Amino acid sequence: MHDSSDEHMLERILAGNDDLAEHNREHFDELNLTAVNIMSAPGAGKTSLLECTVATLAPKHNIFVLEGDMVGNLDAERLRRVGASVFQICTGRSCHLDAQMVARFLHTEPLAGVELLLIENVGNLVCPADFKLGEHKRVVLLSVTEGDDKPIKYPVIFRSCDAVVFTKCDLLPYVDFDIERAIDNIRVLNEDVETFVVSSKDKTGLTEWNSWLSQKVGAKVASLES
Amino acid sequence: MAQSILRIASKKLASTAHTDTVTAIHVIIGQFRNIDIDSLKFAFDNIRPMYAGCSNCLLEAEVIAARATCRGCSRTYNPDMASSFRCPQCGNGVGQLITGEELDVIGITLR
Ligand SMILES: Nc1nc2c(ncn2[C@@H]2O[C@H](COP(=O)(O)OP(=O)(O)OP(=O)(O)O)[C@@H](O)[C@H]2O)c(=O)[nH]1
Ligand SMILES: [Mg+2]
Ligand SMILES: [Zn+2]
Repeated sequence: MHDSSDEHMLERILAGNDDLAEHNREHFDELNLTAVNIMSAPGAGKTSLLECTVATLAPKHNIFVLEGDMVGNLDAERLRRVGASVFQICTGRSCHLDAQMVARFLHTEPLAGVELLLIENVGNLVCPADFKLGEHKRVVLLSVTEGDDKPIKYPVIFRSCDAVVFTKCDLLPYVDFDIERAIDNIRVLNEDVETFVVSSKDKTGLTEWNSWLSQKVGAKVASLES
Repeated sequence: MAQSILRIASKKLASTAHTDTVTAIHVIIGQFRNIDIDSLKFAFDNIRPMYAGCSNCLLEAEVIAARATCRGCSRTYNPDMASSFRCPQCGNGVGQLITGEELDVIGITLR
């Protein structure tokens, strides 16, 4: 029988992921590109919003889309149809992208010239919040069919994001979703969050969203020139 | 997540002389991490046989309550879901989180 030994320590469980995310960020910065991590519950409208975004912004910026899905390439195909350059990551059993998957992508795909990398994370409001990818901006989509209490139920993701996009707003007349209350619920957790109210179906509210993205790309370019 | 925990434990085991088994791993998990302990334990139990010396290892998880300073009145309070994370005194929102974002391995028992 061996002696038992208690090893006291303090090690961050996600240190491995965080370090790799840092490494990815360095790659992004070397490439002068802005990376945006787009997260939401399944079916909140990430791919639909990206279709609209790519259609509008592609003439202006060199865009690349990174698609994270557990299985299949349906979303990647949808985005290719609107002319996007897409790389698909099948996460398999993992319900979120992680920094390692993005690092592998970065080491295989030449991204020279790309200005905006839009990353569609796996549909899930829980795990993606904890796994940084190295992104510059974190965006959460909340569709109006999900309920304005979702920020209270999933505080972590709403606290750690830079912007929230309310999607499917064409459905507002049919659902009990109070945008003001939802914004209020988010601001309790995240004072400086930006919010957008859009419908990918009716193409409303997209101008503000697109300009925000455009501005982030512009700011990056400006910071390099100065 | 379970993977990361077991990797830390395996590394510790490999670097500690005269031990060949991990009997327990102690972790702390902040309330402001969307981590469901039961799901984590389930995943942990499923994959632990894949890590040398960990096949019967226990996961002991302690949840750390969130404490925050209020953005409005600077009072320290426990933001909770029941009050939508608002300050009980002035109704303002969460400023700095003092605790609640932990996600650490704090101890490993080896044999
Ligand atoms: N009414 C309405 N429906 C929408 C809108 N945007 C998306 N949808 C519908 O919502 C469903 C899901 O949209 P997706 O864009 O595939 O959502 P997603 O978040 O990419 O889904 P996952 O990748 O599977 O998590 C589809 O049936 C879309 O047609 C919108 O603005 N209004
Ligand atoms: Mg999608
Ligand atoms: Zn207060």
